[in-house]
Amino acid sequence: MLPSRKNHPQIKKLLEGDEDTIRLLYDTLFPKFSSFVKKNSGTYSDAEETFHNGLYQLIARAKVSGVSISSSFEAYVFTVCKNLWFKELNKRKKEVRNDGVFELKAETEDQISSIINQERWELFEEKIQLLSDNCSQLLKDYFNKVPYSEIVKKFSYATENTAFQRIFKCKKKLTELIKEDLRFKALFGS
Amino acid sequence: MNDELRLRIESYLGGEMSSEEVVAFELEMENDPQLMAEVQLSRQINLHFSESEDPEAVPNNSYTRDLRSFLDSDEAAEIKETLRNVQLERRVPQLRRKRRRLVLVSVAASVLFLVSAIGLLFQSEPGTDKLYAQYYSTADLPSVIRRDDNSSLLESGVVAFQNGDLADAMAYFENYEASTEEPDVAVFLYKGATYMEQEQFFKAIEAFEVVIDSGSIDASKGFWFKAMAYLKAGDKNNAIHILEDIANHIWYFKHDQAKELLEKLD
Repeated sequence: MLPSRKNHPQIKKLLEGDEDTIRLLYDTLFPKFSSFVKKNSGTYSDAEETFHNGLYQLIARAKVSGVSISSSFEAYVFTVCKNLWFKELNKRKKEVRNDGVFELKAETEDQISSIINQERWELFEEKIQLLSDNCSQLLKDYFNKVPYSEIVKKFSYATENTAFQRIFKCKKKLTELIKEDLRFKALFGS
Repeated sequence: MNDELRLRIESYLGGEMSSEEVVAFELEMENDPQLMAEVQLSRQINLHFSESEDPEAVPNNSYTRDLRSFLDSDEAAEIKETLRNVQLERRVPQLRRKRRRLVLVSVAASVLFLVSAIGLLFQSEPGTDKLYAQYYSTADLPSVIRRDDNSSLLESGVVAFQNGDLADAMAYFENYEASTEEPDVAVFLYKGATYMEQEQFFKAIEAFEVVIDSGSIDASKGFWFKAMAYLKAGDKNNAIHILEDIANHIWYFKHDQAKELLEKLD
């Protein structure tokens, strides 16, 4: 079970079904999100569907485990919806959509998968922030396939082996930080 | 877990093992759930950095069971319906919304007129004039780039506005708007600013409302200039109301200045 967290006041209002809070989000945040989706291979309808799902999943998380936020409420909702849209884009590339009689079941499983992915994303981002700047940049470059020769030059390492050792240590540190967190078991354990 | 095993995991995920080594390692994973979990976590970290994800890797534990149970509940169905209803309500055709907004603006303008008149009678809120002078700047209006033949009308209007020829400026803006199918949203900012200079606050606010409704990149500028219009009119309460809205949205134009101004208006 995920450790219980105190809900952010705005999320508490969403959970209570407060229509004014939902209206405010549609009036102030949705236009920005819709424009983001349209700039990223989507349509107005895609934006509507994703925004709806983002809010719905946020409420489900708030109900089951609580959602605490360190940034502003609007920035947080925007990030949740943005990640959801990227997930949808990936899904469209990889999968054939389910339909017909399995649609309801597939929808619940899809919502759970999105919630877990969002929570993992938040956990990873939080732990990356705890690494040194050098470590986090090194990992970003490495996984974005920057060649070792360039990494050696950029970070002033003596050899490619030194770079590899450093990357290995940084990832090990990140893995430990993630495993120490109380959320780890709920998000990865069976 | 020792470093040697970690290196093998990296080698496996990086596709650096021979086919024999892969078969042996996968067999080892099948017999060692802890190793399997380590490999999965390591894969997730790699995917996170490459901004991808594994859609199949959802655990089956008490947390996901609780989520499933909630998502299949009547309570969740009700929440979903509420969200859909608000979504539909906010999808009212723009024309209807604009008409409704015009009615609201007319009412607001009447109230504003009364407030301004009372303000003149009683010389209330003397500080708002000073704050307006301190925070309002025509330099915040967008630059206008020539895109088509009609844009020259807009540019001429901007030049007239900058020279203080407000009547000429308005004539150019009106001509530009009438002759262009999709006018640049900048024209409404300039029209609003022109009306503001002429102390025609109702019309100024109406123009800034069009900017706010435009959904363009400059939309949030509409809020700032609308707040300026209220400030100039001496309507402190409405100015505060809009500035609070700007202060609550980090990406809005003049977010920091709105917060600063709110403190001064307090």
